[in-house]
Amino acid sequence: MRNNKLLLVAIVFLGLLNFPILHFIDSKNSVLGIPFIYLYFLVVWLGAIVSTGIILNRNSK
Amino acid sequence: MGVWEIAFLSIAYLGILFLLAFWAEKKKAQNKSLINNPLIYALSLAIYCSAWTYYGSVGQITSNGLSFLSVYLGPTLVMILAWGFVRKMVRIAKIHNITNIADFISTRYGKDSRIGLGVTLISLFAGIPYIGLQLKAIAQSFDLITQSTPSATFYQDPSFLLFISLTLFILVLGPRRFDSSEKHEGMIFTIAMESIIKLVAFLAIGIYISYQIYQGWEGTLQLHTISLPSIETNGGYGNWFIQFILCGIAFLFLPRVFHVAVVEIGEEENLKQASWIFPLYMLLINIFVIPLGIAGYALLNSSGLNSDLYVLGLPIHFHSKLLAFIVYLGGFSAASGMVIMETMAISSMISNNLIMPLLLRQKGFFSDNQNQLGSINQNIRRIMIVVIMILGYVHYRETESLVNLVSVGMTSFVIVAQFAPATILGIYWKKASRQGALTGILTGFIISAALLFLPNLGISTDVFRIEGLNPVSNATYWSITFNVLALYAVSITSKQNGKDANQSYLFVDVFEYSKNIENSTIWRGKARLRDLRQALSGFIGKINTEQRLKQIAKANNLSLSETYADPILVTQTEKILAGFVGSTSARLIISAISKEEQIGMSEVILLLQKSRDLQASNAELVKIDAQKNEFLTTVTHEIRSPITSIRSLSEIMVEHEDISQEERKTFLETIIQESDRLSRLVNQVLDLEKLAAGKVNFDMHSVDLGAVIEKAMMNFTAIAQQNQVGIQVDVSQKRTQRQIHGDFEKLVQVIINLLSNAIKNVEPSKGIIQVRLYENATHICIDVEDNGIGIDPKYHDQIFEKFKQVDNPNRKIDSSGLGLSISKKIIEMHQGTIHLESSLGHGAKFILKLPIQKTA
Amino acid sequence: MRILIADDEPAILMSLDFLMRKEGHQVFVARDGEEAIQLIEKELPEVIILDIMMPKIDGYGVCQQAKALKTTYQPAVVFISAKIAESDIEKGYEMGADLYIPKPFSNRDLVKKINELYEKLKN
Repeated sequence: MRNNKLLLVAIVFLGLLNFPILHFIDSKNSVLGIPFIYLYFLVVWLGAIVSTGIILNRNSK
Repeated sequence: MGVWEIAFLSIAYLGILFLLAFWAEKKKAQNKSLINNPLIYALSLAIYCSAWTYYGSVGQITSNGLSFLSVYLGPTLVMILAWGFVRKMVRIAKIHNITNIADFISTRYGKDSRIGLGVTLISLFAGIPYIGLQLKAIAQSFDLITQSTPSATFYQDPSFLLFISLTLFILVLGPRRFDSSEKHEGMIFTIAMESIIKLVAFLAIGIYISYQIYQGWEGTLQLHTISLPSIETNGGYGNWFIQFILCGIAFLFLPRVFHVAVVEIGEEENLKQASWIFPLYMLLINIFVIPLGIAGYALLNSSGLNSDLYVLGLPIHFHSKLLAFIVYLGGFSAASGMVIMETMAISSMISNNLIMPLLLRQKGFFSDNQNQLGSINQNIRRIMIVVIMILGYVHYRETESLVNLVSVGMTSFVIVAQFAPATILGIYWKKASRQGALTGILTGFIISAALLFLPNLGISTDVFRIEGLNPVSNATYWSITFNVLALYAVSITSKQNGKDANQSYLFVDVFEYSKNIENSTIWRGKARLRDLRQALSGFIGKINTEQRLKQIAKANNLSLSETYADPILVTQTEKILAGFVGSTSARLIISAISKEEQIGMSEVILLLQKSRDLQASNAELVKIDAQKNEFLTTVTHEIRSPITSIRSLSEIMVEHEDISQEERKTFLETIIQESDRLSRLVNQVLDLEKLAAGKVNFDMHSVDLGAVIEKAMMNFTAIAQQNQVGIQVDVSQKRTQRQIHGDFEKLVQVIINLLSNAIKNVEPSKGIIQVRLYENATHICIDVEDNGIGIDPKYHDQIFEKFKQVDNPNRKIDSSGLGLSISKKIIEMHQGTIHLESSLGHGAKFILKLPIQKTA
Repeated sequence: MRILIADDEPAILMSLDFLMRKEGHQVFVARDGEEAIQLIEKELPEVIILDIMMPKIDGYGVCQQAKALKTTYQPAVVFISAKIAESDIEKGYEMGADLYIPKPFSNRDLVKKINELYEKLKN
């Protein structure tokens, strides 16, 4: 069960950071001076890290 | 800052690291391991982030935009899955005492020495330029911070001094003599410390530039307008995707990463936290790459500084001496950490898979050097470390300004990625064969090397160029595709031999076999104990040898006084040796001292299955034991209840002489009832045990089931009336005179049992019990049906078991908990069946079926 | 004092009922856990004597529900059970029992212990 959840996180992670979804993010707008796509990368990346941590630290097998 | 000042400080830094390592080793000797925890483990994984990360990413920004991020996103992907995938590799490595990637792959494929050798040479081929790259980063950053130009002759070059110190550092902390686990406590601790330093240094310069100098990202990014972030315009999505995947699969197969991730891990549990801590580390070290890259380009591009050195160039530009030194130190940490681990890993591969096998294959070498194999092995490794360092250094001197950091790194990645198919399929797919693995790795290597290097020699490979892909992605695509295809095609067409098949089982089902593998002995042959002793003591010394042998013998109940060693001892010895010299050489040593028989594949699988069966029957015994215990607990519990009331009521009558006649009578009647219950219980326990042991004599005759019902009813009518329960008997559906073969009294007992159950399950005055007798072509059947509370279908399987009184919402179904199991046993003795149809609230129907007696 | 006794063995119920009445207590009897809880809610007895293995709701469950009924109501709970393994007894006390008496018991002993408990309650 736990491994299936991790697999899901991995697939979503890969999907969000590649074509075609990336195509919609790939613009030159920036937020607070930070390029939007860069911010997007950091958020998705952090999201994957946090979900991995949570899944692995919950008690269920 | 002055040349000698920096040189001195750098060497002093190495000295501090050395002291830290020494301290860690000392702690380890006191059994207080510093590295066996998730944080240090995650930090040691950051060995992945070399000078390429530290200096190279920033250099990439202006030319390739965000594409550098794939180098960290790929490994993040792998770390998300690490708990499944990496843990499996860790478990396998631990069981087989595997210490490097070449051993891992060759052990999987039947300890094939050709595969081990191939992987070793390919790793060396990919590793030398990569090491050269780090040395280059050290030298260039040294030259920049000291504002000196590199000297034409290497020995006059001050950075050469750093190179020498680094080599000495590795030699002292590196190869071990008496430790087969190949764990380098001190070294890993320093690697983890270096990881902290490079992160802190990088964050420091990032914050300094983005916030101290330019008050935020906006200010920094306005310094220069470049079409920065878009993936689409910087290589496109195809390149991005391929590099993303490439970095993911190459990550684990870099010799240094494999070593820290798989070999130096303390407990498997460390992976759990490292799975998110290490990706977090990579995220942090990348946050400031963009502002640094843009500021560097805007301020330093005109000075002609190599873009790979912007990180260090920036603090120098702003005359911040301290920060410049911290940044330099961070870069030195990144580069030296990589060099230390990579040379260690590659030297052990070369020794295990190339030199030791060559020596051992030489006639007479083994018998002449049996006692000093350990020190020979250690010296080979030392020499190899020096050789690798020199090769790396030469590579850097000769190719100094040809290529940038990232492209050399990427080239190495494509090459080591060729190990991925054989490894990944190898641990998930049993059919992957040694021929397949060998073909796959070689095909992949040749294709990638050709596509990457031929253009440098002026030979065009444009025919194979896919539009839109850069050379690295293009080479990755072709090489990995054909690698996998070759591995798959050859595996399904070639046959595995016994050893190959054995290992495939042990690898793929590692979690299933974990316990047995320790002792699985797929070895048949003769080896003298004396020879084993001698071979072992060459590595671990006489005293340790005796200790280890005694441990193994004790754990397996073996004797150490016989001439020929038990196969278990031989297998274990081979495993210990593998920790020092790798599986290939260990195999050679064992075959040098023994006469081995070939074992066929079918035999291997049989042996493995046997050990699994044994485990299964063990589990069965444990289960039976647990059932027996449960039975005893329940019996004593059941006996306690009537005893309690008998005792309590009798005490009352003794102590309270004043109780009324009426009460006295009730109490005495209850005592008698409870005594009856007690003796019934005891009889039933005895009956059941006799039935189970087959000790009951069945008095078998032709029996008319109608008569059985009649007899049971005679005993029962009074009880039914007392409980105000109606009983209806219907025998009209049995029209023939056919009979069954059975024991009349025992069958009466079954019917009484079923009737007593029914009575307890119905409500007094409303209850109706129906008994029906009928027949079909083969069986005569009896239904006993009540209109009581019914039994939840989920309990139907249990209720025929001893004492499984279902937690029925109203009352116990079976007063003693034994009646139904006894009935079932009796019916089974008659080759009949008994089962239950019921649901909650809809009454219960027990159906008996007994085979009709064949008329002679 | 008001006492509730719950046990699914009618014979044991009979003797406990007699003993407690002889001591001058007001006694309520229940044949299973559900009945016990209904009676507790209605009568709020000061002492509750419980068998553990009972139909519908077991003794542990009755004990927990009784203790959680009202903050102002804190009955003393006595388990009388044929479960005599140390772990069972431990569990009983963990569930909040004031006394755990193994079956079979001696009447005199039982009465003495319950009276002691009663004295303690009064103080």
